Amino acid sequence: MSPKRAPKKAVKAAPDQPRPGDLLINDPILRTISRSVFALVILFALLLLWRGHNAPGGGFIAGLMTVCALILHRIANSNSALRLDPVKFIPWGLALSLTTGLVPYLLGRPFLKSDYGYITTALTGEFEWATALLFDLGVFLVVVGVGLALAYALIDVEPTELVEGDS
Amino acid sequence: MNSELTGVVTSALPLAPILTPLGLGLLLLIPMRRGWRVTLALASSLLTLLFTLLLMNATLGGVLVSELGGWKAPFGIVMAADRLGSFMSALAALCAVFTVWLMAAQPDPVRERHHSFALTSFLFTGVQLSFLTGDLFNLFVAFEVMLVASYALTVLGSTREQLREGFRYIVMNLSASALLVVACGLAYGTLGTLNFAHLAQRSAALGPNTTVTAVGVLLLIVFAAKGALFPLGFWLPGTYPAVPHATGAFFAAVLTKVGLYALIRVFTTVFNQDPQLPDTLLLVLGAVTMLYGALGAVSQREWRRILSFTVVGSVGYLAFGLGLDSPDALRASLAYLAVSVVVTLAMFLIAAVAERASGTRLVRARGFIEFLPLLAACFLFCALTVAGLPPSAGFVVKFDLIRAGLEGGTVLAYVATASALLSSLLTLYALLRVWSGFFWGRHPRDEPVRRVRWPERLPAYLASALVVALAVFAGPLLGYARGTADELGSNGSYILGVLGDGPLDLPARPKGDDVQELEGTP
Repeated sequence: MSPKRAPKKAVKAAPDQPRPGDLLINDPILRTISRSVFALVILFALLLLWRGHNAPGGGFIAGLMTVCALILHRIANSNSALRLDPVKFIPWGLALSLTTGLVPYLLGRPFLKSDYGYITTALTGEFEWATALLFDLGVFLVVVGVGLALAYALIDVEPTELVEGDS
Repeated sequence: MNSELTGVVTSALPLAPILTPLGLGLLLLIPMRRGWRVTLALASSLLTLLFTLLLMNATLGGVLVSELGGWKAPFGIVMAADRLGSFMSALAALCAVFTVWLMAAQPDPVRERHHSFALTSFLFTGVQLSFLTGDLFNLFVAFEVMLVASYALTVLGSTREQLREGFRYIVMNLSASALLVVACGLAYGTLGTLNFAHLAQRSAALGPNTTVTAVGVLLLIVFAAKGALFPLGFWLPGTYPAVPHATGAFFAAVLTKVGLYALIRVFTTVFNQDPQLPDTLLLVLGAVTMLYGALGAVSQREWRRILSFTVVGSVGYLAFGLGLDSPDALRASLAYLAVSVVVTLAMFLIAAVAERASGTRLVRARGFIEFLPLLAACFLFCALTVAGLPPSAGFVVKFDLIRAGLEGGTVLAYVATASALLSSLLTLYALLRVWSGFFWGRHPRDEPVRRVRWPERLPAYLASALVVALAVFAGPLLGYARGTADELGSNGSYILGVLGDGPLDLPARPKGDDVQELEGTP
């Protein structure tokens, strides 16, 4: 990240001993419970995202809950559930939200104006779709990206790391 | 659309200067060659400038409103551009063009790899949003967009000085932002709305009220911290010299003025019912800040530290003008604001060339008039403008400000006026010392002189030419400022422009019984 950082001088500890600053909790109970809790929290977050454009919920809170679930997974299993760098989510989410707002703007209607309609399927009954959902999805991606980037950066702190000028 | 009936003029234009740097800033994140990136960034800033000039022209007739999502004020968030907002936004866009230009002329591979162009673009977005928004909470959001980008730009590069100063900057601004949220909450709790026009309407209906005054003073503290008024401005003189030249110039020219803009907006348009306490505070803070800035400038030895202290001083003048609270003082402050933004930009661009040429941040080597005669002339004229001596525009606007101060009539106004005169003298001394320390005299032959390429020098010359142009067109500038001050003086036009004159049918607040009836439970 920073160009002037000196090479890391972390002392290699024995593999079974957690290094200082390493958030590695090898707890079988936590690991077992975290699987079901992870699924529940993600489900709830997706529900909030789904209904958010017209009811309590929304991309922001859904994103925060997803971040919570992913942090829990990271703490319990000491690896990330995502294969991607979370920072990558931020520009894509922002671009999605902006585009959703920009399309009506460029078509001569107010910025962020949401289009909506109803579809009825046998499975869900009458369902209201809205382009605000896409906007929410963008917000969701931004929040997940920012939250995870912050959390991972804090988890990965190594107190033994030295920067230039430290003595 | 029945907006014609209610007198609200809706337009897509107020959103254009906000969306342009945001959208093109996102495109700047795409990996591309430097040439393309520079072209895109320059195009973005020029396009923004074009939109703000169009907006400035369009708002001559009245307030323009953009309703987000088509929700009318006060229910939805609106962008409301009046003369003040569009004027500030044009000034910021002008500074943005010069910033991008200097960034393009000073390649910095490390910072550019970490997206300094995109971050600058997001910074412009936040600044434009804060000038054009019509909602108190949205103003907070705009401040955050602007500040997050500026935090990143402050520490980008991770030099020791940047991290030290950046930490101070971040802690200070985060605390101020927290207070701003508290003030928003209090305003909403007291008046039940956050739209500027609606807040103004309701606080006018309520009359002088202690709680509203308290909210106003809380906002004053917040914006004083953002605008670097005396006790809360300690972060400024250390932070601005720590960042690269181009971004430093934009920070210095525009970011403090955003806080000042918010002060003007809040105390002329919104909470103008009980001006006694805020005005006294502004006068006192302004008087002290002017002296602090001038004395600080005298005490420093580095180019951009001296200039940073003159920025603090200019903030003091603006607070002084705002605290006088008369139409003449407001006109003078608005004209001073424009002059101050342009001359600060020019000064920082000149400092960038001077630092590159002498290879040091100290004002040390002498005799540079021999190598950079045009720069010396530019510096001299800008110094006269900052200090407020004829034939510069600084003289015209400071004269106007001092005259308004003498007409103020209270002891405090006289004291503040005396402080303004004294600090002008001190600023002149500080800047003439830079002149004699850097440009005048004989150059010691052992000191190196680095050649500065013309793309780096040209922005400084052009910005100085703008300062000269301000002196030539001081009359039209004061005329425009007069019109803006008149519009701000009668906040009715802003309220009417945003809310319209149609009846505003707010549903009555639901009582507990009604809710139960609606829900159908006993």
